[in-house]
Amino acid sequence: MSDFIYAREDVPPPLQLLLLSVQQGMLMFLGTLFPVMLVAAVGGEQEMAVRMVGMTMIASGIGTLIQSMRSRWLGSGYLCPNVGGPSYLALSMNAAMMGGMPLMQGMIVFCGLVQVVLARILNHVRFLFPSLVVGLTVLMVGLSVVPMSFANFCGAPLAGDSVLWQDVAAGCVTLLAIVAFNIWGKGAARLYCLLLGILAGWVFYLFLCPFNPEQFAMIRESALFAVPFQRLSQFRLDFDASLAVPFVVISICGTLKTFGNLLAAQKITQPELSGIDMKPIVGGVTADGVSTALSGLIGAIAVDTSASNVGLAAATRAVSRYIGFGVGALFVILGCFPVVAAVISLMPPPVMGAALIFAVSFMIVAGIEEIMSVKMDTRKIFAIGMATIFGLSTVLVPAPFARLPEFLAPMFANPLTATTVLAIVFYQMFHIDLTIANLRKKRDG
Amino acid sequence: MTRTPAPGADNRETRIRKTLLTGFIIVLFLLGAWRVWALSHTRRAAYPEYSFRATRGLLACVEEGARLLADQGEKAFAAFDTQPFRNDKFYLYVYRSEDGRCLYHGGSPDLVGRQGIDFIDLHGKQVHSLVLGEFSNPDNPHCWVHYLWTPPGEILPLWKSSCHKQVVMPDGTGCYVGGGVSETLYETEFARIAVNSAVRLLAEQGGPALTTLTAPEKNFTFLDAGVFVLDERGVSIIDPAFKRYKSRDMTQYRDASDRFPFRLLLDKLADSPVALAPLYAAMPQSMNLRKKIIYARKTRMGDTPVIVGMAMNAPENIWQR
Repeated sequence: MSDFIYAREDVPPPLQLLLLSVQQGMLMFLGTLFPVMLVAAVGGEQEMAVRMVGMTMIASGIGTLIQSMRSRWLGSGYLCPNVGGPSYLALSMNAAMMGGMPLMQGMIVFCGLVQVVLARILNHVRFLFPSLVVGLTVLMVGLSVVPMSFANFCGAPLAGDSVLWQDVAAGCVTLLAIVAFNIWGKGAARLYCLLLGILAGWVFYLFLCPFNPEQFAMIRESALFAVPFQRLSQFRLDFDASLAVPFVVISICGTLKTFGNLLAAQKITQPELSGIDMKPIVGGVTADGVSTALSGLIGAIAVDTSASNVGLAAATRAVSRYIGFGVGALFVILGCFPVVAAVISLMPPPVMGAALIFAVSFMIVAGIEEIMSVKMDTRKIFAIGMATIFGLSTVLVPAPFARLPEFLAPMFANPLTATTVLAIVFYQMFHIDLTIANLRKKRDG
Repeated sequence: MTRTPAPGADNRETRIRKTLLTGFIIVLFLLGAWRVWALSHTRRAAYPEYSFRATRGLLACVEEGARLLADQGEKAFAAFDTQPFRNDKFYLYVYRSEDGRCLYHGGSPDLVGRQGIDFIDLHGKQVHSLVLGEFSNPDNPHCWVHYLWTPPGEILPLWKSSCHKQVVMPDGTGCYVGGGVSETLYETEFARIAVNSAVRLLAEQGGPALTTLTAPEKNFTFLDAGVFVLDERGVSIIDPAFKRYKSRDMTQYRDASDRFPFRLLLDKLADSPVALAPLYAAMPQSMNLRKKIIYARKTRMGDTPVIVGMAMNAPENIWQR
């Protein structure tokens, strides 16, 4: 498409590549929160949290590098970075509590392998993903980031705590700055709208918000350089068969999420395609499985593809996969420089929240566009409408879902997986007569 | 007539735009760097031991209120009626230490002139006496007291956590200023204060202290949590769930995530005098579990080694709900 600043195969000049990689990296830093949460939940020490953040950054970096590749088997060749995400967090915590880090790592490796197997099946079940289901999946991928984005925009307060007007003001300034640079900026101002907005919001926040001496102490205490691989015991893996079923279910959900992210990336990167090109999608899901397995192997939390980064690529019209190589390499390097990671991790939550809201807006609209491009009939309306209602009920009316049998619970743990699964089922169910008629027609020649 | 742009006009415009953008970035960097430098040379009380902003904000206001009261005496009451001392989250109150007479009350002005000593909550906590008692507790530097309080005009009580500071006014009157929050802020610091105070009490009194630790009217039971005491094998002396139920082996307890939190706690306490361990409880009508934190310490009750602890809801991010 002509209005790309850097299309899929364009190689940006070195300085631009670095700045665009940093811009994507800023959004990925939110993923470093999750290992800290996990370590806190299992009662681990500070040193363990630091090591795990480093490992997760390295795993994210390698995952992004693999995803940007365009080999026959591995990688989608889209700018679809990997981050330590919340999808696997709850189950990972459970495994870590039951059998320590080796069990958690072993189960994550298992998840990755399941995903690789699922990726090979995807091509044969293409009929399950008509445009309508794809659009709804992309929309839900965007919506699934809303709680985290909005909570951060308000300063990420703890439940029951005050929301400070200073935080909201910093969020608004950041968001306005990013949007203004994107709408009215030209050239570099538009290309780096997120970086400029983050910078403006961060400086504004420094003037407005209360001083926290702990933050300076954290930077002072961080090592300049530290390789997070320290002992061989870090790579020990365990397996518990009783956890296999929930981990398989979460792998299916993870695969669907990655599928949605990659579809969104494909829609944004190759808008000229009339249908789905499954080859890069299968390669991308395989790459995601390999990255997940690798993250378990090296002792990181499970990484998967990031919806907000795909949104950022759409917003800046810089979709070159070489930016993926840049940000991947950057994350691998930064994983060994805890002090740099410490400085960036001090990015105020409202600034981060504003950046996420900006990026996710594009995902949501991409999903709506895809849905609206389909001519509706009652079958489709029921399939999509009902899947959306039941899917969103998991967050709007969660109480009845608490009574579900344990093996079904992960499927309805969030609106993304619930809506996607239900949309696939309802769509096929309501078209069953047409499918049978088609099959008969084919049989009769 | 249409104007044709002069040759090079586009280049000039691009150059101007680039210069403006570069200038903007440089200004932002300079401003940010100056501000970081200035902040790094500032020393302001931040109360890092507390997780909630509301708690830190309240503490800052009570301490500032105490300073004003020490400087200005009763003239400070006018300031207490304004921001930041009075807002939709909290207000300040001042009681005379000697007889518990209310000198100022930001929430219920009709209490002024009455004896605070009359106030006893649903658990039988005599709040004024508890406050005076806590001033001499070295483990509770901000004099936190927790009680059930019915907000003005309401009939249903809520848990309220209040902090206090002692002041001598310019006219020599000894009093204390306090303020509280009734939004059940589960500060792990509250558990630390209760456990450390219990450890001190056990060291001073031995076995008889157990009666005080289980008494609902004392400062060891609050926010639906209470101090427990286990022997070194993890068998309950004061059970975490049933105060009078003894000899339950807590190492056999599995929480809602199917793990053994007290085994983890004992393992940690084998290497350290203090330990924190997570515990997950089922939440009614939810697929999610509620995270709690057990704060525990090793100590002695007479000659017997014991473990004193408290399990309290852990602070959680709003988007995780």
